[in-house]
Amino acid sequence: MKQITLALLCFFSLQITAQQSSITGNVFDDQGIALPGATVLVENSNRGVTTDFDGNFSIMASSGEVLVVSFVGYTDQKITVGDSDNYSITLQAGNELEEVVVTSLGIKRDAKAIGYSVQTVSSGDIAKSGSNNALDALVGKAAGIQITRSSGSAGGGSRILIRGVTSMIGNNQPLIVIDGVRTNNETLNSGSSTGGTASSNRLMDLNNDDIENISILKGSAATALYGTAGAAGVVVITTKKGAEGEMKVSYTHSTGVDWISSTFELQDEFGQGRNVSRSDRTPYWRSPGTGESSSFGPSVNNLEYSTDRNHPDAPSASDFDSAGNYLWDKNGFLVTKGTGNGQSANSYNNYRSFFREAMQSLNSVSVSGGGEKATYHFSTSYLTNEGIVPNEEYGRKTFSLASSITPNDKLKFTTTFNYIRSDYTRIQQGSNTSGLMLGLYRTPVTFDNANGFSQEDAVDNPSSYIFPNGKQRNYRGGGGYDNPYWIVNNALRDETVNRVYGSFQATYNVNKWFNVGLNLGSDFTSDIRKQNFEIGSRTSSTGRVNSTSYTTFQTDAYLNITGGDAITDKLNINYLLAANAFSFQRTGLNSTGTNLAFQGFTNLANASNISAEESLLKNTQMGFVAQVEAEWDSTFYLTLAARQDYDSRLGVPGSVYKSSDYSFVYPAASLSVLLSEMLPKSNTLSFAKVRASWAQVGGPPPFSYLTTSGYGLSSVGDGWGDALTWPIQGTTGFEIDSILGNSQLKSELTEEIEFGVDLRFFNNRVGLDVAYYQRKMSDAILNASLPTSTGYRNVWLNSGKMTGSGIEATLNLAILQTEDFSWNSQFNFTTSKNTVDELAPGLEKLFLAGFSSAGSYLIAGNQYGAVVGGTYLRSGSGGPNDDGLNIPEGDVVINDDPTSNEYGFQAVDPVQRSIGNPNPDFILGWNNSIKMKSFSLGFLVDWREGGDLLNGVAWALSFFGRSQLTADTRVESPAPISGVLSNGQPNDIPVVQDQYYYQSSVGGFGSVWEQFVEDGGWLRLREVSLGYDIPLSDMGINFINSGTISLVGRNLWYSTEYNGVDPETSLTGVGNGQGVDYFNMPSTRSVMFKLNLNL
Amino acid sequence: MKKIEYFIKTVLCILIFSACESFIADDINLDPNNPGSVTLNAILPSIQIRIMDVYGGQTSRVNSMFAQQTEGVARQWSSFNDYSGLTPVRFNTVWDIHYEKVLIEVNKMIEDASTDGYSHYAAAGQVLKAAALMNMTDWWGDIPYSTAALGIDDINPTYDSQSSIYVSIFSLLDSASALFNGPDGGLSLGGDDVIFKGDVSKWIKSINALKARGHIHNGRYADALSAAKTSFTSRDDNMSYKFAVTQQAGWWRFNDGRTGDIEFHPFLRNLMTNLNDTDRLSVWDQTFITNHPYLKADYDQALISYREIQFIIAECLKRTNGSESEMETAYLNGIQASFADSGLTDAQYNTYVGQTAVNPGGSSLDLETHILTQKYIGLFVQPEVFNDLRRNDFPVLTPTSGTSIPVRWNYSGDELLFNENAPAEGSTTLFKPKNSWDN
Repeated sequence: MKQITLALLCFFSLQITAQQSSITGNVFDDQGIALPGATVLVENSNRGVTTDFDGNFSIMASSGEVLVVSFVGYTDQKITVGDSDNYSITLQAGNELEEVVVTSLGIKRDAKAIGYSVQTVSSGDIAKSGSNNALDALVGKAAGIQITRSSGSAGGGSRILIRGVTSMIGNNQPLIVIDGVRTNNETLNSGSSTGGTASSNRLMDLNNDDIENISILKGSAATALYGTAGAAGVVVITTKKGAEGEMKVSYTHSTGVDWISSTFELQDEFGQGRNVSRSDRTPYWRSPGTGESSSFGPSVNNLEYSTDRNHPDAPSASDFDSAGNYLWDKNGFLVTKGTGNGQSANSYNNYRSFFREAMQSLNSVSVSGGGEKATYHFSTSYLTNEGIVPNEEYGRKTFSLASSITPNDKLKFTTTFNYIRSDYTRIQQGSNTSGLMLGLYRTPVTFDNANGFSQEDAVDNPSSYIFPNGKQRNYRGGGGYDNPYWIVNNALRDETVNRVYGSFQATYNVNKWFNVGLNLGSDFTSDIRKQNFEIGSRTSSTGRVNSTSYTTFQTDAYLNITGGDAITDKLNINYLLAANAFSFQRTGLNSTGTNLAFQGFTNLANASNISAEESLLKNTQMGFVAQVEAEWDSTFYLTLAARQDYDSRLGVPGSVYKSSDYSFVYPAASLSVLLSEMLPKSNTLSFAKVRASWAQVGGPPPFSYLTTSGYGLSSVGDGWGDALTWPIQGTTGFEIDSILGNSQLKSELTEEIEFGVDLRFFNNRVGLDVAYYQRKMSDAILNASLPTSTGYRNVWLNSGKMTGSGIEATLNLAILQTEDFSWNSQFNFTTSKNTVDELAPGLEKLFLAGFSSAGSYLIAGNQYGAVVGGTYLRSGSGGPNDDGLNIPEGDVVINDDPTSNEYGFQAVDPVQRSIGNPNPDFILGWNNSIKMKSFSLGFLVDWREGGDLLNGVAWALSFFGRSQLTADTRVESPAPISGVLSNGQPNDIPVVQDQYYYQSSVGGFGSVWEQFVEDGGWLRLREVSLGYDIPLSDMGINFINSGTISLVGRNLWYSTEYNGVDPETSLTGVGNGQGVDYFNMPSTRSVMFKLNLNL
Repeated sequence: MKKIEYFIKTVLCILIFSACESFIADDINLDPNNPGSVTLNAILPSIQIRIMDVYGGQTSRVNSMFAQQTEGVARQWSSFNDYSGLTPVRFNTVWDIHYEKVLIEVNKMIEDASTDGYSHYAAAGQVLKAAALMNMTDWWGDIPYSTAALGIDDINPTYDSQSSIYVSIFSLLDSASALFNGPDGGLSLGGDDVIFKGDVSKWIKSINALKARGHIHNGRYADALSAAKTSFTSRDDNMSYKFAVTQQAGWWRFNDGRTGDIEFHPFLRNLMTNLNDTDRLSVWDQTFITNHPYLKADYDQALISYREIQFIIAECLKRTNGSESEMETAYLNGIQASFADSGLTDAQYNTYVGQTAVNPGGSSLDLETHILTQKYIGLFVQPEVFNDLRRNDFPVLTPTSGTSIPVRWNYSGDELLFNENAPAEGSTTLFKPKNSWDN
């Protein structure tokens, strides 16, 4: 309701200041078919837009200006803006190909001239995604990209890969360039890599409504001008700048609701407890006060309550308060049916009702316009986004100002300025005893986390999670895991991000052969975090406060000199020379206070033990670029480019300066041939282009300071329980770094070759763009493992080799085109495969992320990031088909040692092996836009085939007897497990898969993981939107130019083989190690109402 | 127009210059967060606390579980308890700590102290190194040593025999003894010595204590006896580190984070119950939570203790047919120290040892029934109980699964994977081979 009131307020306040201004239109071909992706430029300006799927465009232009409308395969059309605000433009098919794309360093080039793959996503496609994160909004809308949201947390970040990976352990996410300068898209984790809270990626600070378009530069040839910084691909974002003409106001409001998508399948029948013993497998109930962790107790159907303390099965005296009331359940403790008070035991629904329907709302206003010499675009937005977990919040305010001044016809200045404030309240997740899902899923059905209250009341009523004496109320008697209601009140993290970034651009056009451009950008981020753990939290029982601040500052500067002209009537040449300087600096200060004196004041002042650490990370890069482009007869286009980079991260302190030590040159060449120019003109094949490119590009060391090693402080512990941090009792103690520095480091190298075709048929109604690439990566920098008996754990080496290849295809279809009905469809297909060929001499396996018993690794011969864990013993183990890395062929061997506790279970292979491949086989996005008169319908189907995920939830919950599987098998009759005995005969030892099975080394928390690897692929209805153009003029409203209301759904349906949460998840966040699920926050579905008005 | 050109040129010069400057500076890529060198007082505390922490942490948990003083009952620890879950990777952390957090540091400290002539620091380093090496070889048998901790200079350290490791241990202890008996060279140990606070006489006693332990492992009872007699004379001499309420000992941190994974073992409970050892039981046999009355936050973790020495004296006298009265005194001292260590009174101790079953008098003290039993009880959750178990094959325990009790630790999984000179996969397990001193 609040949101709607706000919307109306804005609406009415705006009508006073607003004036009519927007220029909108539709672009059709000569047969009346809408043309998506046509370019609309204002002549003699930098303003330009691309039409959406329905051929619609909206551009800022003033009366008298000329709109140039172009589309590949059609003759340009020029329209002079007059009194009307709406134009219907028809393009005639022709040979002139004027499609323009934004490429490296912001240079706009004719699409036909480009010898590599670039794909553009328009603002309209971003807007109707229903996501507030520009990365999420790109899912399915371009070929060659893979985007994974790390969790369903409000304010949780996403990871993007373009053409898979290029670096083994370094950054693999593309460079984000906004308005020509590098922009911070960092993700700074809090807590360990497997536990803590969700983290944002900083691109989330961008208001999607400010985006004009996004251009994705995929291969090395496309990104070569960015040097090492662009090794992983580049996402070039252009924001709206305003255009000459009357002031235009655009207002967007959306209100939506998010809810949980799915939960793990838990059993509802068996209560807290265990079997009496191995020899007497009678389940019995155990009181929470015993600390019992598992749900291998009796069926709730056989239990009832009792409040009689003298009952023979009554829990110990410490489970009762001084008045004799049972502490853990208001109904009493549980006894065998027939011996209690007759009130049947409840099966409490702890988890299904825990999550809330979360509201989100966004208000965004922009004002733009300009005169002959200056334009402006101002926008502001306010987003509030609740999480589905109570008390989880994300809020963002953005302010953006872009303006340009053209003092004369040779000179132009453009500036952008953005201020963003983001606030987060985050919830602990993943592998930590304060992780929300951990305690929620493990809670037995016989324990009520809410202590009799409803979910909403329990959140606000401390008696659900805390006793009057300050002890925590949870199902393990105060031990184990935090009660979820405790977590959402007593273990919260608050984060505040203040960010300012902007750019200054000057262009000076002397003549055709000499133009100078200067582009300066700065990006400053202050990120202040405070994590609270109240006294009694399971993660930190003495209480803890972490106060952390990060300040990140980066500057990027380019000087470009460009020029070019026709040399003969067939030969055109242009050139580019550029210099680039970039610097990055991040300071961090973290203060930790533990041993709080009293509850209710989580503040450093309340801590009796305080430690602090500071860090400074900095690096500098310089680059020089040269590029020549030659065009012959509008048919052949050849581009040659080179960049020389200098990177401080390769420097060795104290050594004598030799520029060659840390400089490197990367060449690139690309060729585009327009076959259609050489063929007779045809309506069937309206356009045909083939392209090829080759490039070498380097990758920098993943971090600063790898060329030396020194001493550092490292916390003291053995991995079980919290570690101690220095200073310890007043002394500090340094240790030699565990990673050995290497003064010989050089940059990584990727060599890539790409071929592509771009074909358009039937007057461009069908367009197919296919790209194939192959990559060789060498000198990959990695922290090669050493046996620690050397005194070091790792050494930095340039030793890795990988190969990659992939196919990308985009198919555009104009399925139906009539005056009243149109249906445009786009398929984006991606497959990429990166194989680790070599790590280092003698090294076949390198840990990326996860747990010591299972995680994501680099394994020689396997695809990047293979999932590694324990396996069952195979009859072929150690034999000829056993390479020590993968599961050998052969039958599962059964333990047939009758003295063993695991007699009749699968035997365990002592070697950890590759048990899964987290990389999808392919990704297919199908994006549709259907328009019928005033109605428009869009939907996006997202199919990700394959990609294994380690189901750590199933692993852990089988140990605790909480998964449905354990409920099913524990009551089955004894039967032999499939496998062979040590003599090779089929197994004939009957066993029941009950508590003792699931708590053995082949159950949960055991060393064998192969049975918990699941296919994490999906078929998903990612986006649906239904829009309606409000017939404003029919309604007699004239002060509003256009208005749309729409209903947008996101992630409304999916289908997966994966058991548990939505497989779009990653325990380790946006890092390189993917494929591990361990009590991550579940993903959400959402529906929102959206109103867009243009005045 | 000229103005614009000047403007652009100026900006450019500033940019390029500032970028260039950072490239030709001496401190290019110099790590501001980690110093290139540190002084002795900044490295000694980490070596000491590391040794104490790993000894009183994972070492204590695994060894007391093998010796059936504690029992793994939940999550990973239930599979550790029946040995199946204790795969090589489970030993990565303890192995890493010994080599990467202790050995290379202590080598560097000894080297730096020797270079500067600070002989007491060098001596303290040698004692700590000897203590660490003895632990390592006792848990793992043959270990990398002579070519270990050399970094990139030898990336596949070779494995030295256990007997040669013991030779090195005694030579380090002898050298330390000589240095401690001389001048400190101008820098004395102080507050940074978190074990003995710079008390050289205690360092010298600890050298003899470690020698006594080393000798008895190797069955040299007379040598062990004479070393023990010149070592600790009271609990105050313990080579120990007292953790703090705010910076807690290993067991407390485990019980805090992993509540319910490990509990008191029924075997020890029965043994003590049969001896009416109710007072110590009431302190020890509690649920392993942060309120445990013995495994406290500020636990005083001994690397080697007065009570162990007293039991060594008693055992050696028994085995060498020495003085029965001395034997009885040492035996009772050990028990008394254990009571005191558990916060119990002398009255409670007196009641206990007043039983004939516990103390039938010096002439009737039996090696197993009395001395080894009381040492087994008295060293509750001290890693040494696993050494005694293997050395004496006593107490007689029933394996929790299968037919044998572990006789060693697994090598680190990473070590097996990355060191070409590591024993072949499968050639060493928890059950083979035995230590050289384990008959």
